[in-house]
Amino acid sequence: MAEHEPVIGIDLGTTNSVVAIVQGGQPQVIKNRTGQLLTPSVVAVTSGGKRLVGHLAKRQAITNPENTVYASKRLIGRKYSSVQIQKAREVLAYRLVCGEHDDVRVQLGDRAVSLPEIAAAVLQELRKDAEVQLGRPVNKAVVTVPAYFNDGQRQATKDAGRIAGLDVLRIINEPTAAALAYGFARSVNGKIAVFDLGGGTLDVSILEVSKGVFEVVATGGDTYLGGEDFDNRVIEWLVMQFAKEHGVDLRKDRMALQRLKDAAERAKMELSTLQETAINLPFLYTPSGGTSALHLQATLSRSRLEELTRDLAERTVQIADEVLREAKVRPPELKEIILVGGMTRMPIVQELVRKHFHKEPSKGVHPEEVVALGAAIQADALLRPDSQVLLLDVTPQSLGVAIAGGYTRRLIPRNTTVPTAVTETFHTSRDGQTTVKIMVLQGESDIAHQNELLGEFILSGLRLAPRGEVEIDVTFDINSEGIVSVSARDRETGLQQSITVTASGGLTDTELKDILAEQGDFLIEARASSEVVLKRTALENVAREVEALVPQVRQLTGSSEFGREALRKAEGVLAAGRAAMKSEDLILLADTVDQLEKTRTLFVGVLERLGARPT
Amino acid sequence: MLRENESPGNDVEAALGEAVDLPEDRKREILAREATLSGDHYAVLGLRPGATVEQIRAAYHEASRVFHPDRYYGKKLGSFQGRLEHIFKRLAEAHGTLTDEEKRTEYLQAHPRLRAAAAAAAVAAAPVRPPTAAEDAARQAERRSRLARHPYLARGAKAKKLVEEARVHLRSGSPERALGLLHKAAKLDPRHKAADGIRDVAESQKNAERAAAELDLARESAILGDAAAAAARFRAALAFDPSVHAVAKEGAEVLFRAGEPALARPLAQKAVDLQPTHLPSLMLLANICHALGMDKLARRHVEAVLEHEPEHAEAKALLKKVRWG
Repeated sequence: MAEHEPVIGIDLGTTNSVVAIVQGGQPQVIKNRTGQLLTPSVVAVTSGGKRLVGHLAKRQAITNPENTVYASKRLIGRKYSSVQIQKAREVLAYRLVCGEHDDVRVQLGDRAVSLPEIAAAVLQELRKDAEVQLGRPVNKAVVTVPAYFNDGQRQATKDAGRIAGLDVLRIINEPTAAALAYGFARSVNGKIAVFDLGGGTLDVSILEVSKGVFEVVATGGDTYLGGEDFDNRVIEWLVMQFAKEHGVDLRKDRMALQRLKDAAERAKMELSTLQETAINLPFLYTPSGGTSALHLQATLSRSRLEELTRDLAERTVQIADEVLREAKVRPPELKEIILVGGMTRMPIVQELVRKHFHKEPSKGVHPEEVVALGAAIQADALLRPDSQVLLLDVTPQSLGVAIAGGYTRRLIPRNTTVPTAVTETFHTSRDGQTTVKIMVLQGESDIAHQNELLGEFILSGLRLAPRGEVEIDVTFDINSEGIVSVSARDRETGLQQSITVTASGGLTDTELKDILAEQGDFLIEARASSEVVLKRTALENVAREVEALVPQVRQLTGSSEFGREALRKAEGVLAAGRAAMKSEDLILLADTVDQLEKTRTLFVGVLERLGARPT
Repeated sequence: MLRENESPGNDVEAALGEAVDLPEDRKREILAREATLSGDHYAVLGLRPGATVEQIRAAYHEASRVFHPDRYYGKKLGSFQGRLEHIFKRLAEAHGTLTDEEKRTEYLQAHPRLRAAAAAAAVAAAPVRPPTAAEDAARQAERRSRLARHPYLARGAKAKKLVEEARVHLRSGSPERALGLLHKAAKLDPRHKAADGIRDVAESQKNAERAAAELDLARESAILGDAAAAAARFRAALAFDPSVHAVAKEGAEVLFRAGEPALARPLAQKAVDLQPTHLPSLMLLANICHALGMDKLARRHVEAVLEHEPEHAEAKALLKKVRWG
């Protein structure tokens, strides 16, 4: 059969990257030009201005820590002002600066380099490796990202591909790719879970596999939980030991920190096979004042390492549990649990997974290669006409619109199979409102400004009418390429407006909050099942009941100190209830209803015991 | 749900004539499926009402193989691009609705005709393509039930079933019934390990419920002015949930204010035992002791308060009163 033009699969990892291709029906990893399967995701600029990528960059990291970028995947597509970036700034040896749109840039020499450019350097390197191996030009690729990456992060990864001269056919999730590679080699049918703990992220995915169709049922995870966090625990421990012995805080010394980081990672890896390992870092610190240099010597045992990191390992299993629950899958239904990512070599992680799911995890895959292999399989499946493999992928995060009161109405919940389309009817939120603003949000929060704003548009020319009379159909559509388009249509006039969502706006939380406050008058209101309305009704009803009981209770128990106090409390709760009635705050409403219900139960109980019939 | 404009009949001829990278029979297949989209969720999947979840899933996967747009990636598709997307969206919607128990029930309730048909077909479900997975499952279930009839295994199975039922009750918040079932299960099969864990949960849940009930009664008694009964209820609440500091403190406060320091003291003491550094509890205990004429004890508690907060005004005032006790 005719081979289509070469398409590579790339696993762009936090610590290492891998490139693979399907040839003659078999997926295989492409070795880099130094003969290795893994290429470190490290980019550096030397003092002479030369750019280094991969092993060369990693090797010189210790002597050039400020111009060596590692773990940049944790930063890509994030806002400079985000908590994560601010936290990362403290531990990273290289310098982050703020770009024009609150994006993150890395100061390398005299240039502030964007993160897609850093990722592009790695992709470019892998592309060259593939071209050398195949002896043909390579222009197309499927690239993997953590399942939990949002639209902005995916977009940034796509941009990186474009900068590297690659047409990125698809961005697919790492655990999905792992499942593809695992299922491709075997005949698996049924539900499988992929537990992917890498250098920076934890991803868990549940898939239903049947004869080549890979249906993603659910994905979840944590973008800030991975091997680096385990390393940091070891670094902290070493710093503590050193501080106890010499009274010196090593964290202020960037070069020492880089050496500690390497040593911690190595020790952690060694302890996956050994019970104990020695950490020796001679001349680690040179005190000012001419005294002789200090050395670090420590012995780390596996049990101590597990003690230091047990809570992290336990959290990974908890997250896996949450994903299963969301997918409505019980652990015994799982046919296989596949461990992916270098961190799953750690015995404590394997042990916790085994204990928690009562199942031996499958280790028949090479955890570092499997993701790239899966990407290559998907690339091949897209271009090969007779392919048996079909991936039914899902949306990573929920999509919705901002509604009056600053809330989110979700139209497409996360883990919905794409392509998909949903229409819902809304109505105007004010009397005489002739313009509505549709703000497209991505994220899981019910509070609008805690999500990410993907785009916005206006539908105007509505009929002058009282609130709620003009109805607007809002449609969300995600096509098979993952492109989101949103349209709004006035039901009466048929007037229509729409947008196609492309890149993220890059707004901070507070900016979005301000915008929402400004646009408050132009928002739409959810028609059905508005929670607020329901709660308000409940509040009204229970408040009326309590009010009716008060005179009776006063008459019967008002003479005692207890009775008076209970009545005082009830008056307070009623006053709070009246105040909350106007509020749009769901949590406040729910709390007030709760308190009033308690008061009612108490009053009814008292009256019954006194033999009075509560009216 | 979104419906694009359904293509009218003469559109079909035009579509068949379109120059796209699809063989004739595939074009016909796509157009035929498109014509079913205005039907119900079962029809879209090529199934009859009452099909099992396994059949629905198999039909969905089977149809995806043909109609998912990725199958034709990079091909010239013309109007068929939109048709495929439209078909797949409907397939996914139908599958998503029919395989989720809640959504299916809701859907069937909204379509009584389908519900009746589904009920009628429940036994003799007739799949368009008989999926072997479903047959396998049926055969396995039959084998399991035959094994379960074996007297020895039956006891274990019955115990297991009881434990499962108990778990359900536990989740729906009736620990009392769960405990009853667990007791029965233990009689049938004393070696059933899973039962122990559930029993612990059930018991602690039951105790928490009892504690809450006693607390309600205690508050009632207090309002009714029956201090002795209230004291007994507060103690009972604590007996069922011995770790609740707030209950002990509330009881002590209520009784003390009602002029019953003697009844209040054990509860105040309990509150202090549970949270030795909670200053309001310590002050309360000191005040109660003072009221009972036990100034030596009162002084010790006040001093404990001042140790944590040397400027505590109330403690300083009380210390003056009890200094010579």
